[in-house]
Amino acid sequence: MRRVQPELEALIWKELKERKLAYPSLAAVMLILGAASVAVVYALPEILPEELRGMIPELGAEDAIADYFENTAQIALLLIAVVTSTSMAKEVEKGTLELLLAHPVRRELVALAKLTSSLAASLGSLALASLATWAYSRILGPYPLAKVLKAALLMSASIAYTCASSALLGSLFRAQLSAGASAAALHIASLVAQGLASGHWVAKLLPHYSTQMALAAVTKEISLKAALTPLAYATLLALAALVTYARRK
Amino acid sequence: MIEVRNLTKYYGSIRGVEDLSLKVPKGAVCGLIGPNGAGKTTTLKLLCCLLKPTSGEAWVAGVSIREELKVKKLIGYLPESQILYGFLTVREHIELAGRLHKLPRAELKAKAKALMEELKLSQLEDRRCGALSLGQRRRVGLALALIGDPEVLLLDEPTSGLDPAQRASLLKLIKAMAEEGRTVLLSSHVLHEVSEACSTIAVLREGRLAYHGSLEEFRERYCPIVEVEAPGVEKLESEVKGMWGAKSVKAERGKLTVEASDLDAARVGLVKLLAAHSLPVRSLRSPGLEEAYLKLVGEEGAA
Repeated sequence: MRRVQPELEALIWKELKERKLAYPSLAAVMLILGAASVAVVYALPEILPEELRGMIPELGAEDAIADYFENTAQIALLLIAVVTSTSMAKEVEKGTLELLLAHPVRRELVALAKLTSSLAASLGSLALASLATWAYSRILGPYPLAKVLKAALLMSASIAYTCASSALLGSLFRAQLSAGASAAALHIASLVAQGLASGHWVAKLLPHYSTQMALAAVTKEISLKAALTPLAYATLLALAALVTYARRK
Repeated sequence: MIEVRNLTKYYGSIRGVEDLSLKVPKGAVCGLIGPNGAGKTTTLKLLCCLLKPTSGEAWVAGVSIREELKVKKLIGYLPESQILYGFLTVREHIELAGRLHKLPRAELKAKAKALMEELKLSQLEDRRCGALSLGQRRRVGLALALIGDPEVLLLDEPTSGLDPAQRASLLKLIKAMAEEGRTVLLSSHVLHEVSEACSTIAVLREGRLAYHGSLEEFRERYCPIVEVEAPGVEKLESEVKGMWGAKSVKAERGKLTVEASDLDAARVGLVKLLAAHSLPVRSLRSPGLEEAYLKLVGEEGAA
């Protein structure tokens, strides 16, 4: 296997050190979302007032897993957007970018290290939380692991899009607050647009199509092709983020 | 060596530096001085490729500053505001810089250790940079600048935040590095340090080069004065007038100030004259760099 460039390796190491609280926190949030989804389904309907108990259908492992992916789309992706965008802007805001660029290192490599570490940490957290949620859900009954993995793969494309779009926004702003707020706003707007377009052919062209399909994959047979559009967006936005970071003054 | 030719940098409509040309030979230490906002930091940032010039050209160790990565391999830069990654320890920080220079791991470890010893950082190697004092951070910054074994050192206010002992030791280190053949361009506000460490100076004023040359020539050009203190020396005022190309002679009680075109002749002549009149010399001095600097940059420099 070809060894990655030593300076990229060093920059990724620095990123992981710098985000040693943020990345484990992201994994913890996703694990908690999974555990909470299973716990709520497990506790229902007994936790509801007696008059409401008959109003909800009987829930099982499938519902808990669907709930986990929905929470992941709404909460975890929002956190990923904020963590990625602020990590890009922080270096400029704190003035440490100069510290790196005084050494023989390309600007785009600094951005690539940030994007790579954020993507790796997010995908790792998703994999861990999805497996853990599937394991917890067994107390509710059997559910095929293959379906969880398929939904997780579709969600991975959404994570790639979220990381890339947030990296681009982070490259445009000098302040962490502006970068984080704009990434959060974009994420919410994208999800709302995806929801509004649901059922229309336009939905297939929107970047969160794979998020929508990940949720559907819990109950239906969905093709992994649904990940292609968000992955295409992610690739283009990641390249735009690297170029923007390299050209920023 | 460093060669700068007609280098210009504008920030929008604001002038950073304009039409700057200077040469610093290999192994020389050149002091970059000037009032705040004169363009010292801009010049250093242009040379280490952190800024792109509006026009003009510069070469660092023979490599054009347009070739960013090649230049960065040859330079060590110490920025004015010593910002470090607070979450990294001193050793980790130095090693990160070494890895960015693609140093092999074993060489990096040895070099980092040697640098920490040289800069008296060994005892702090496991301390987080966020917990260091300003002086300690400055020394870490210097270690980061030196880890790539640079041919050219660009130091922005290297002694700021250091105590007198650390300042003296850093100036000694800078001189030693020049003796090893490294070229050093340092900006400073502390003129006596510049006169101690530098063989040449470049004075910037409002983004333009006001003077570039030796310290001696600078003093003689902008402040060609000899002051002698001796009891009764004021009596010699009329005798001194017209000697050694003296342009003006000012006498006060026990003090004679002579502005002369030939300073060396004036110094020797004054000593001989005082001896001939049996006047005991209390002091004989040529006002330093500071007076010459203030004369060149005027009120702006004193601000």
